[in-house]
Amino acid sequence: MPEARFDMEACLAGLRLKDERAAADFVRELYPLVLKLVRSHLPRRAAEEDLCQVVFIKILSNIAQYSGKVPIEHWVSRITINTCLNALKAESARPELRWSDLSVDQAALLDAIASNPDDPDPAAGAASRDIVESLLAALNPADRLVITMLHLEGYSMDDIKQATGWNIATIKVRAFRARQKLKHIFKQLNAKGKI
Amino acid sequence: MNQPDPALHRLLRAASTAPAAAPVPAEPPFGFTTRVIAGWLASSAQERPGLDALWFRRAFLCAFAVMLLSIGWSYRTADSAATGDEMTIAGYDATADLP
Repeated sequence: MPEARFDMEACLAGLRLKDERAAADFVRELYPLVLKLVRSHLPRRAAEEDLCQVVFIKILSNIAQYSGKVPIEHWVSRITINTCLNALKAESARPELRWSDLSVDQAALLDAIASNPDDPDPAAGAASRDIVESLLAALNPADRLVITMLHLEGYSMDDIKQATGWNIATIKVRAFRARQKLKHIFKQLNAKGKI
Repeated sequence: MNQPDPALHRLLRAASTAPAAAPVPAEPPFGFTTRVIAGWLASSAQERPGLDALWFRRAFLCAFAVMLLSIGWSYRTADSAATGDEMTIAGYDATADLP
């Protein structure tokens, strides 16, 4: 038997009347989307479930402000990303990655990437991701967000515009500056590694 | 698009191909929905501006009444203190004139 299609309009109408069952359906329906975004932009010390909970409470409390002009998923994404950005801003420390912080595998991978013009072994994806996340931790939250969305998750400029509410020019400038900062941090890391 | 330096670009490309650490579950964990709904209902209860405004207005009126009473009382005591001083001075003059 095919699964019944979720009726978002009826659910939103129920939410406006403070219907708890509609709220439960809403959370169940949008949980995967919110969790995916939270995982991508999670501060180091935050628990993903706690942040998801904060996001959903914020969404449900402000549901009256949803005008219906954009799909609910876009509106939810924007609230989620702004909540993650605020959580990242609350993180005062931006630790610098040092060569000594890298594991043996990560150091070997960085050496290989620096010396070999070919793409690294696909099996090294997880190690690369760890290194990039450590490098990104030194950037400010907005720069980190734009690099993650653009280079790690493959979002287009329009997708980022929809998710953040920033205009294309702002995104381009922010991405350019973030790349410059990342390049500087990466060069410093490599230079220290060669000493 | 302005790309980062080649080594950094390779690192970013390798990182983008990394599989997700854990698959995104289709359902929220047990108890999550209940906690969200409880938080939502608690936050909407806190957001009732009428009750706060009513308490604030009452507190303001009480404070204003106390302020008026204390001003009136301080004027009254100031007046009576002035009369007392005059009588004291007059009494002093009367005693000073005595041989």
